[in-house]
Amino acid sequence: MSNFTDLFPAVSSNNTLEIICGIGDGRTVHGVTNSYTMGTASAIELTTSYQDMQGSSIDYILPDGTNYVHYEYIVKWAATDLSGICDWNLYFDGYEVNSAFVSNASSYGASNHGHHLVYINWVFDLTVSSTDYTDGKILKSDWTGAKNIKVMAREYSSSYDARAHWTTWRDGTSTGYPFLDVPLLTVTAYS
Amino acid sequence: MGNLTDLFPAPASNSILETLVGIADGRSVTVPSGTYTFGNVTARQTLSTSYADVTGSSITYTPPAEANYVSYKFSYKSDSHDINYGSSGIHHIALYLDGTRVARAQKNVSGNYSGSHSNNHASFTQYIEFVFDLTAYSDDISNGKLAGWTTPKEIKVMARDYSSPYYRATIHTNIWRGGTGASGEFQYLQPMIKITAFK
Repeated sequence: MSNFTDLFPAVSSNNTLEIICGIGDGRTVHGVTNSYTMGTASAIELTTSYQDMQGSSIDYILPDGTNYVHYEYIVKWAATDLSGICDWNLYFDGYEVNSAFVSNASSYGASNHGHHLVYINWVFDLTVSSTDYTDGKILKSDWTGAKNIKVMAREYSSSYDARAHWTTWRDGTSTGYPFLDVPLLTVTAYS
Repeated sequence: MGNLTDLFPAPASNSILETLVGIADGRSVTVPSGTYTFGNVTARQTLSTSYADVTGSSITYTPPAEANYVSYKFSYKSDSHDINYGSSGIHHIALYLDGTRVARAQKNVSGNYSGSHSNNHASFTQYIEFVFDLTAYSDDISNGKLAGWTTPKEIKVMARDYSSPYYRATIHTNIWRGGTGASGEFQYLQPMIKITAFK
């Protein structure tokens, strides 16, 4: 016999409706009503053209009652030349969310040892009365079905080359590099 | 007749009571414990050698009655000041609860000094996160311990430079975009606050 609360589940006791969380290794993550397949990341060189960041893209379907969606992408960045200046742009359904733009770099120097995580995040507000993509404010009627959210990145110039998902050193050596540093994607829906 | 699950509610399925999350763009967000208005960051913030409130970090919060722990996370952009003396942009980050510094949460942030004070490129995402323990027998704010939390209390971050004129920092700052200098709204990143109340 099933549990009583399996047959008659209580309304969620907090305002978190769903958390989709996974690393960029191609895994499939099951949400409350839908499943999502993460991208597969590899250590890459960035260029001066914007490119999709592996593991950042999700075609997300809102759970019923969603008022806010928190998108979080944590990616490893590494300077190749000098300070490795990089842009990280967030897109919703093909529109850039200008307010979420991040530029990052290490200190300027010839040793180019700068390696750190970059946190790109935005809280989409669905309680607004009109859509403003540039500020990540989305009218609920403009988010029906699956909407793509993703990050694109580029380096500043070929004098400031940079890499993503890249680790040069491990266990006291660089032999065998590059090592993969997989990104983490988390999407949380709140009522 | 009410719903069966209203009369016989199931136990909560996890220990999270509520999550308050938002961007410092002036929005108001309603969660079970109330409605909260976030700050509105519209510019970079240049630090000095005196502590100043970090714009967008302040929120006056009352946890749900059952809360035993409250987590506060403030995510922001850190940057060496783009002046000749910016250098590694050493700055200090302090968390305050109702006007008292939470010493246990203190952080120091900087890039790498790379041989010249004009090498001021360090620019990265950063955050401060702390968990307040509400199960203590008496208040010890410096260590983030409280004997309950039933009234509105302001949580905020303050910051200062290490020194002047060298090692100065700015907050919320983007310097570059698309192979040139950032302009307009791209010059700053509005920070994010996330508060989670646990039982």
